[in-house]
Amino acid sequence: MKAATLEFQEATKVYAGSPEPAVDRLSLEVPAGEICVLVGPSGCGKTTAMRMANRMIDMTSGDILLDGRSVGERRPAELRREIGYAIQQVGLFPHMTVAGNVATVPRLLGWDRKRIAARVDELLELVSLDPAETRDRYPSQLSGGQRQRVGVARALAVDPPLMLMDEPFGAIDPINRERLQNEFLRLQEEIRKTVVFVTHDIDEAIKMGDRIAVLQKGGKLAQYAPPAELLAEPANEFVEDFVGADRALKRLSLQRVREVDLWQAPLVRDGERPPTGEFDVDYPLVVDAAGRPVRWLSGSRAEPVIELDDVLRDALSEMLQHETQYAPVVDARGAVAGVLSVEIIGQSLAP
Amino acid sequence: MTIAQVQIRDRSSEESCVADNGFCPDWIWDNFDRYVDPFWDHVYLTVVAVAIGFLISFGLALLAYRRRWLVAPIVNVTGILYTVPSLAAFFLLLPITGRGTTTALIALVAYTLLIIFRNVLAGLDNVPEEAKDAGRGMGLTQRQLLWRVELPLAVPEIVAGVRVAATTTVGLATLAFFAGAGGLGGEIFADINFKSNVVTAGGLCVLLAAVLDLGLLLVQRAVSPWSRA
Amino acid sequence: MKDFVDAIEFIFEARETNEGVRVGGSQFLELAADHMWLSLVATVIACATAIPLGLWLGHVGRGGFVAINASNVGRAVPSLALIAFFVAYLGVGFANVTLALVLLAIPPILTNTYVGVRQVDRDSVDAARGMGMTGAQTVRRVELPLALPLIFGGIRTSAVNVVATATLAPLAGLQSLGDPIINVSTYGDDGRLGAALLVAFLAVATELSLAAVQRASTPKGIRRRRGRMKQVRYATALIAVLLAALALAACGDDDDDDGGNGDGDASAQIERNEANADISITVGSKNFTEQKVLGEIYAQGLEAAGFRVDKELNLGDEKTALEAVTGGEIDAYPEYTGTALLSFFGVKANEIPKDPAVAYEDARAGFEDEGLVAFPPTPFTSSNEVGLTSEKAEELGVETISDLAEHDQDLTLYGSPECRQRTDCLLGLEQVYELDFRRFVPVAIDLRHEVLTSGRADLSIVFTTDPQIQREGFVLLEDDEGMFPPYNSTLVVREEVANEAGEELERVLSQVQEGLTDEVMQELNARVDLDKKTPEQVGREYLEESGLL
Repeated sequence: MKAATLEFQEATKVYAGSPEPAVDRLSLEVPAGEICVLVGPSGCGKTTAMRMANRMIDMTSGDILLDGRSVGERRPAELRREIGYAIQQVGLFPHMTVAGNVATVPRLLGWDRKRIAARVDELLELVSLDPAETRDRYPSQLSGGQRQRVGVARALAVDPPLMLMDEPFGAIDPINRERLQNEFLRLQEEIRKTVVFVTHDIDEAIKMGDRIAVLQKGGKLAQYAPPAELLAEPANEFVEDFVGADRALKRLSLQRVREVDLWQAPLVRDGERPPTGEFDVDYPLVVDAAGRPVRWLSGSRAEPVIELDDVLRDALSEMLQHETQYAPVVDARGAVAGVLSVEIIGQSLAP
Repeated sequence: MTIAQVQIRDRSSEESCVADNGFCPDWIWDNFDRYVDPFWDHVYLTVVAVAIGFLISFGLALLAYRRRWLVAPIVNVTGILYTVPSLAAFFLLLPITGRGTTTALIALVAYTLLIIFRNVLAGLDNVPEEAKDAGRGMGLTQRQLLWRVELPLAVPEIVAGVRVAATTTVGLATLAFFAGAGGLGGEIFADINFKSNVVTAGGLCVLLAAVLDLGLLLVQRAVSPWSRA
Repeated sequence: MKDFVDAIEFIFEARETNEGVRVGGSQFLELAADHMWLSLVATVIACATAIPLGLWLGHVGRGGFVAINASNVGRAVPSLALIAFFVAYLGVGFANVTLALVLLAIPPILTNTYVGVRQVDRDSVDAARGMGMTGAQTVRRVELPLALPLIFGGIRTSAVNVVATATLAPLAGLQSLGDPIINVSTYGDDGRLGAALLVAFLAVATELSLAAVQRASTPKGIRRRRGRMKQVRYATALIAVLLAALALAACGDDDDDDGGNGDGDASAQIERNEANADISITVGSKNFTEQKVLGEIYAQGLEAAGFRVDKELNLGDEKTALEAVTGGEIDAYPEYTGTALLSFFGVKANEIPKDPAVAYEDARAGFEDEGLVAFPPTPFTSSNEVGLTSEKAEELGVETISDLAEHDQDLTLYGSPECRQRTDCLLGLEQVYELDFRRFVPVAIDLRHEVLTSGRADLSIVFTTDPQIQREGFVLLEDDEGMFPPYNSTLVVREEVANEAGEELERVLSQVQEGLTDEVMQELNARVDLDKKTPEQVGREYLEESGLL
């Protein structure tokens, strides 16, 4: 599975009759295999910038290099067959079956039928659709979520080194959107493509992106950084406003419980005497034979029970809900691994 | 020198279905073969006119699809051809092209142009914008997009236009005999008073129109299974 | 090109035909007025029927299948068949034709009204109901105005269809601009072309004016702005089309030959002579039953004798036929001695010889000057006669044509269009008998009996050999002033062909004609008109039964 590098070099687009450029000297580099999210308010030029990469819109000046080669050198149709393209409304061809849709570019390239059929099945499974069931369906017979998946499969058909995705999950309801996002991230771990992902939703950007490019009105690049850096050190007031006043909480979404140093509390079996010694937390925690938390010795319930894989933000939310400062953390087997406190969470935000 | 004699019948008190000018199935059955040739003339006129009309309109529509400024002039000209009554058209053409099938075909073809042109264009315009964007983004050239995406999606509307053109042409072709081109209209005109004749000839016209209409509908269904899904 | 110029002149300048009948110019205007009146009445009635129905159905949302498919079915029924159907079942007359046109006009208006109402934004309708409007108020104030553009579109389509179909009205005995087109005799080719141009013009004018009304009726809020360039474009387009049409000036005729369909079998009496095979003869005929039968008899007889025969029957009236034979389009056709003398050679009706033989000689001489050979005539004579039902004859108490003088002011006479100008027809009745009828109505020759039986006509011009006379018991008034000349049929042949064919031709013709007595001719006509056999069949039957084949 190959992935290409993408580099914007002072890429600019000015529409005739418009005083301001739509994209203003955009320069950034997307390393191979990474997801770069273009995010910003509407009208900031993020979609324009993306569409310049596959020459759906031609640049006024500047250059875009795909694996070091200028996109201007290639003929548009040829170039686009090497770039995966997924848009918000998906744009499945209503008159073709799912298989037909996915097979569009392979057919253009002249693959033989058996190879195409095999590839179609492979891709459908990749996007968690049952090939036997969906292969011969028409788009009108699919749900919104299913259509999106087919759209992604279609974009991946010829294993392109670059994927362009324009708000692909924008038209989906929140529940399914989250599922699709998670699935795509899982997929990306497998196939490791270079992806340029456009969205207006900062939360999605933070979740999906390895790097985030925040664009301001007028097509200017405000900041280009990994999510943690973006949240911790916004480059200017615009970015600060854009990421939101709750960026501290947003940062908590980026960390998991297992990444922080947990406090230790004395663990005691029922009926036994608590051990002595220096502990971070003075309140003994009653555990059972397997080490699973039962209750605090003081009598209060040992809730909530946090898992090592939880993100800090969710952990904090649960602790606030239970009106407690401390919560036991368990590992995969359910045995206590430590205690999480609000203080720890606060400390993790420190620069 | 005449050996035989022509038989003369006394008709003063004759009562028969035909004499009473009723609807006479017997007579129709016996005389059905006089409608056969005109029927095939009619079929020929209709099918050829619609086919030629389709080819011309289709070409014009493809041309106008990419050059929008052509649409208005084409619609205006074909609109006038459509408005001029076919009977008048036959006679306007007579001095130029003479009597015969050609004259009739010219007028009949002219009549179909507006209908089919409008429908092909409308069908193409109704293709969802996102499908076209996705297609272009995937690397389809302009021509590939047209033939693999836009035209297949426009088929239902195109065929609808051809159906209307076909049924209307069947009706108009009944007047083709005025231009010397034969057809069922000649049979109607030959004995306009005789009920059985009018009903048979007229009925065959309606039948032909129905068959063509249904046939084209079936073709469309076969060619675009996705529209029924 | 010249044809078109002549035609346009015809529209604007009145002129007189041979016998003093006015055609063209203001008379055309009269026809156009009739045409538009008929169209208007039919369209208005159709609107009055279809629009309320469509509004109601659209408002309640029912009957969609019928409303929408009405147009599909309506399109499939040919207008000619519709008119013919009504003529056959209801007879001729204004009401019947109007009814047919109304039926033609309803489907597009109904469909468009229904769809127009349905496509009104449901939210608007909801809001209206929510504000307390009754159903009728909703229709009137919300649905109707928003549906108007589509409704007018339907009216437009229907109106143009009706104007076009009104051209067929003469088939049902009604005057319209179709007269010069269908009954081409009186007006000639120029008149026919002129009428065609007028009809086309009226149709386009109807379309454009209703389109303007449609635009004006569109509520301003939903009107799309179009440049006023549209009218200019229409004009330029029209000019472009006319220029293109003229540029087409294709040459030559594209005649559709029916092709001879003769037996070819060896005949008992008519001998096949192989030498005749080099000679080709095209046989024509005029446009009524007797003529078609005669044409078939001659054609099949000559074919049996070995000539190469083509048929071009049903050409039109006598003038058309004469033009065809002198022009070479056909080689021969049967003409009547009386008709020839009157219509071709300018003999006045009261000067025509009553002796058939003398009449034939005079006619023959006249034809000779035209380069045509008139062969010896048939035994039968088929004169024009004034006919009426026996009831009417009793009621009026008339036996001769002169008897009509007391009643002529109250009577309507129906006849073929060319009757008006013929001195062996209306003109003669006016001149010789000094009759002044209340009204003369031109109808297709085929309808000459129907108008009597249906009661529309008091009097009709019929032929002595018409079988219907015996059957219906019509009374033929005696020609006491001797106005109607003898009409024996003679085959008129082009000189070159006659010379080429030689004696053979004359011999075969006399063989074939010998058995054609008055009675036999009437029988043969009866077989076509009453038994509904084809002229071809009857022609063959005559030849076979006479032992010629």
